Amino acid sequence: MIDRRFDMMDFEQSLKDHADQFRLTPSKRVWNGIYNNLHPGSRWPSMTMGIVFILTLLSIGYLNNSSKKSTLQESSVKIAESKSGNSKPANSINFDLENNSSSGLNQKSFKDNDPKQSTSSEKLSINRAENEKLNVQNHSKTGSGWSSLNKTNRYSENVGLPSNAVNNAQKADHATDDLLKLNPDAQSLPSKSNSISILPENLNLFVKEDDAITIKNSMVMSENFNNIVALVTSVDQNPSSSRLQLNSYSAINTHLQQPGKTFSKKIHRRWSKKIEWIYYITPTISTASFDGSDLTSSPINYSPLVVFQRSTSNGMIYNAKLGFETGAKMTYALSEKWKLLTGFNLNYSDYNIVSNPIHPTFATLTLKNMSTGALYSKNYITFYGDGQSYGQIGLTNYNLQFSIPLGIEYQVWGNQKMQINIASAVEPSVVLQSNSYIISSDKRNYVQDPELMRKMNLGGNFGAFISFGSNKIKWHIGPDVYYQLLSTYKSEYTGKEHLINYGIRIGISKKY
Amino acid sequence: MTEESILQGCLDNLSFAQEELYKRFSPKMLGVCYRYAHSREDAEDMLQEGFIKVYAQIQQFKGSGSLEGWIRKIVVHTCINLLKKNKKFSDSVDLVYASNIKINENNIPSMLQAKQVVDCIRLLPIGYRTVLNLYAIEGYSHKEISSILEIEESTSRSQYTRARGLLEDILIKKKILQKPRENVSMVAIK
Repeated sequence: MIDRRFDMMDFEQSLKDHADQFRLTPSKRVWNGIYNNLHPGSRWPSMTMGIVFILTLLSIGYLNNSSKKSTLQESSVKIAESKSGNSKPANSINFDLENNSSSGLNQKSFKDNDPKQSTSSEKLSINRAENEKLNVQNHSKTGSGWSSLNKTNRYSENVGLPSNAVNNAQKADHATDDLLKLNPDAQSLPSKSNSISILPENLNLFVKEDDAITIKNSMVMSENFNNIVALVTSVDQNPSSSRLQLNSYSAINTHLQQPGKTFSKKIHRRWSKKIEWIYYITPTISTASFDGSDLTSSPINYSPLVVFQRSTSNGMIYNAKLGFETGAKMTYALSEKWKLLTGFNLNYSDYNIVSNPIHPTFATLTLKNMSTGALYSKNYITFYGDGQSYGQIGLTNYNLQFSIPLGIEYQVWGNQKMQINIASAVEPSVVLQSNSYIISSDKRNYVQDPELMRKMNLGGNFGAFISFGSNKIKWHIGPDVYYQLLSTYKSEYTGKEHLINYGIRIGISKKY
Repeated sequence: MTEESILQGCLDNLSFAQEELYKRFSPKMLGVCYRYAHSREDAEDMLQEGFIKVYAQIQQFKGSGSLEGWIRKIVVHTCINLLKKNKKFSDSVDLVYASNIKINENNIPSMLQAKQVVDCIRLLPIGYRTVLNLYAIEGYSHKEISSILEIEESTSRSQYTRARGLLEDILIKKKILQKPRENVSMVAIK
């Protein structure tokens, strides 16, 4: 490398000469780092992928937590149930939702079966009539009669409610049209083994077991379970001064007093059973077809991410690369075997074109005038050759699309633990971002023209997957193929490019 | 590709031109970084940082000097800045300790001469090495070095003198450098 020896007489010069001849080859990561810094746009698909993945995890986490919450509340109800079965609480309230003449609604009765209770004449009834008056009526053995209350700003005066409770009560009152009868006479109520007590410390509901289960389920299913609970902290045992104190009063009427709401919850449950959300990610091999050309292999391999490399009969050499699909798929069970599917999907496809840098030159595209059908040419200045010469470089064509798949899923085989399904969907999509180097009409250069890129597209998706897991969490894994039905380019450009992705879809779902 | 077309491509933010520029100058610039850095990894970090600055400031290159010289200047300044930032430079400028450093000859790898010389330079304490690199190889004056490294000009001079002496010793031990004739003759007289 160096023939002459280090010369002491000219130390600095000799040192400089030797040091300057020293060279090291940097590793690939250096250029990758520089490239990512210079072209951050090429980095954002991976960032998007990361964000989507994090969002998916957060969604799953949220769903899991809300499930736990419901389970926790359900269990607290069960605990209360067992407590009420053993000991009779001090203050009990009987919700009697019999048909009421003033409301005129057919309502479900939550009346106690116990004859003692049914014969009990001590009932506190809060009746909201159409004239927007609230009457709290109390029939007592001592003959104190019904205490009638005007709704407007008189809760606290007449019933002894705290002001915030009054406000809450007023708000809730607007939402109810039914009759609620409360029995404050705790001592007259019997201990019932088939009654269910909600909120053991403050409120106990004595209802028919069947109805109670309905209530309980509808409450547990509700997102606003915390708001459902009405805490009646104190019902004065002296019937003559029946006094209610509501610490929190909200949607109890919507669930206990409005059977329509309960019915809608039931319908919601039925829907929930049929609906399944699957969050998935699909690493794909992205490639494309050009004008339906047959592809032939090429030994040249340019990019480290290249999966395989091919050349088309029109002279293009290109590499398939790695892409991805991610999103959420919602299925609705039509029958045991058939499901409708929809959702949203993010699809990133890319491939490398093998090119070579050239001196700036003119390239021509032959385009079609869509209104007249006449052909015309458009000139571009380009730096990119067809990749057939020395000094090959890779040009990345990429496409990021957001789509809403609409399709159908069929269960080929399965039992409770495992199923094999096939699914197919069409995917109308919006192209969020794209970049494409288009081969010139003489097939010798590549040019860029964003105006030729299609903004909306249509894709087709087919996949088979195996589903397995527990009742709550299911995994869905299987091969998936995506084919872009319309060309990447507008019809003005005579060439057609159809993106094709092959991948393995990995999904997770939670059943309600 | 000619240097002009590469430059034009870089100005147009064309990736192939940027890559071409990198391919052309990165081996030599990594050699420069390697002389300043503690390790190969540090050198690559310096190179990466340096080239990012090169691309960012490429429009400032007026063509008055050579492109290589301009890139080298940016890379060297990047190396110094990174050394300062990582406090690796200030850790070992102490002259007293440096004068007592004993070179373990086993640490000097036997390779081709350019690499041997560079490896010998890298055996110097980083303070010495930096001054030596800047003065003897990059051609900065002591005044410029004092400004770049934020040290006294006299410190730069004395560090260079000691660095040179230490390097000579290493090179002689490695038999890369022949002893000066005066010394040889002095040995003969003795």
